[in-house]
Amino acid sequence: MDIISLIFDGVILGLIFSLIASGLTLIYGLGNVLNLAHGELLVLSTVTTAVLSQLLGLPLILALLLGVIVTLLASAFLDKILLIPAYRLVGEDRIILGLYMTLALAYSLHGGLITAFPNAYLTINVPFFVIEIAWITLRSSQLIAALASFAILVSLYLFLKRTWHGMAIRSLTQNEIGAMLVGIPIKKYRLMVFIIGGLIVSLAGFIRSVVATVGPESGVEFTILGLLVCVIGGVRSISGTIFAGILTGLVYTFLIAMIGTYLAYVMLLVFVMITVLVRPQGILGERW
Amino acid sequence: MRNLLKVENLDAGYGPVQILWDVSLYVDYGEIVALLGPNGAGKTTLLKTIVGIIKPKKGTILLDNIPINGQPCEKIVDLGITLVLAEKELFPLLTVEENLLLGAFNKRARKRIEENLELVYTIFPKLKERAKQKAGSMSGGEQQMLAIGRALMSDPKLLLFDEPSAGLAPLYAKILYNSLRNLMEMKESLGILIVEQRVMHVEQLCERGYIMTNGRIVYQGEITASSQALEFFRKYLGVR
Repeated sequence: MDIISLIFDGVILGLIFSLIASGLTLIYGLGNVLNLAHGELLVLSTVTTAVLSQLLGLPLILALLLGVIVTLLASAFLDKILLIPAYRLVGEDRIILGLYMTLALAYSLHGGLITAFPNAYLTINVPFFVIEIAWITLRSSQLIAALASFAILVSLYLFLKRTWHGMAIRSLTQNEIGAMLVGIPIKKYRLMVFIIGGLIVSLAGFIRSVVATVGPESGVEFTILGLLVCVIGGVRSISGTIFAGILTGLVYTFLIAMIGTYLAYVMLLVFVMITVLVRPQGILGERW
Repeated sequence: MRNLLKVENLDAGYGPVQILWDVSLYVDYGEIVALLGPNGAGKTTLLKTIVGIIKPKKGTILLDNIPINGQPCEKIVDLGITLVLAEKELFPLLTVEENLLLGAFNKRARKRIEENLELVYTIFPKLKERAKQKAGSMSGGEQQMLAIGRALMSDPKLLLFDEPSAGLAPLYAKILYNSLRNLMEMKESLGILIVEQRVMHVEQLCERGYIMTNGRIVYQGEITASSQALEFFRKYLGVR
């Protein structure tokens, strides 16, 4: 067993988890809605792309673009229409109604996609080459996936830290009334966060399709893994979420290599429970 | 004389519950006006209605003779009214400096960030010392300074204060009111409306004021400890 390549696989999987979870965390932090349809949004973009490029024969770039657009429309629909009744409530009531609404969307998307397009598996082939640095061997797909995820996460981080929009989003996750008092329009930023979350999660789907295959049924798994990462990272903390994603990816990859896929999932849940027991405030604590 | 803020016959409340009944008041340029009254009189509701957090049911709110009632909060901040609530409503995990910068979120204020930051640091030198510290790690008095500093960063024409001395040690309350006086000297056209429960805090700061009970304005005029009318309200309404 090649440890170096396992570590690399784990980091890539972890970066993809971080992408999924960062959108979840942003939406939860700002809108107080835990988006159970987040993994389905990922699948929506891969299925759209697969259908358009394989069935209709569109060029891949165009199919990818349309995949993103469909996902963004679904995100906007979720925020602007489906969640209207939830936004009329505050606190726990909003969280609970938000869970129902997003769960309903998740189920209808899941059912619709696996019934209508059962064979819409997306694999993105990139030019194959191998890079050898000292004793480490990397496939081109791994390298591209890692660099792309890393670039997205860094841009997200810089966006949140360095721009007015980012500052507004960070302030809204901490104190909605305070943000209102300084004149930050809440609804506008809620939509923006849903759009950013949708964009990042559809890119996560494409990146996953570079190193593996994404099928129409995998949405639930991505949602659950994303939620686990959020919990480990501490909700509302982006740096914690990124760190937790990589950690979870590594642990999961090593568990699969050592004890097999099914038991690995169980052990991963045990790992999450232990982490939450030891550090309930999130793995890096309350910070941005 | 043009009023900076003019509220006329305002009715407002939460959902079906009406809190404010036919409230009228005004604040002129360069004036600090007190709004006194016991707990539950509707003072905070009035401030929240002026900035657009609560939508008025009836009546008009004029800023510089332009009606602003019914506008969203972000629009009203942009027009020049900023509210400082008693709970301060800071961003605890952001630094003092980031909190101040966010105060200047509206487009008008962004153009004057440096000027206003200097003003805030002159009035509250403590905030400059703590610029890189997290807002949540400061004492109550310092957080109150930050809340006022953040409000000043929004480049307001009118500042609304909801019990700025609440929860502060008497010494801090004194420092705070002294700094408000300094502020008025530095920004002459600024208007301030201060909600307080205690006359003693505002009598040296304000010449004029209003008293509210049960959602109605019941007194308007001079605010001094010796004023006879005020003495009456002090005894019967618990205004101290």
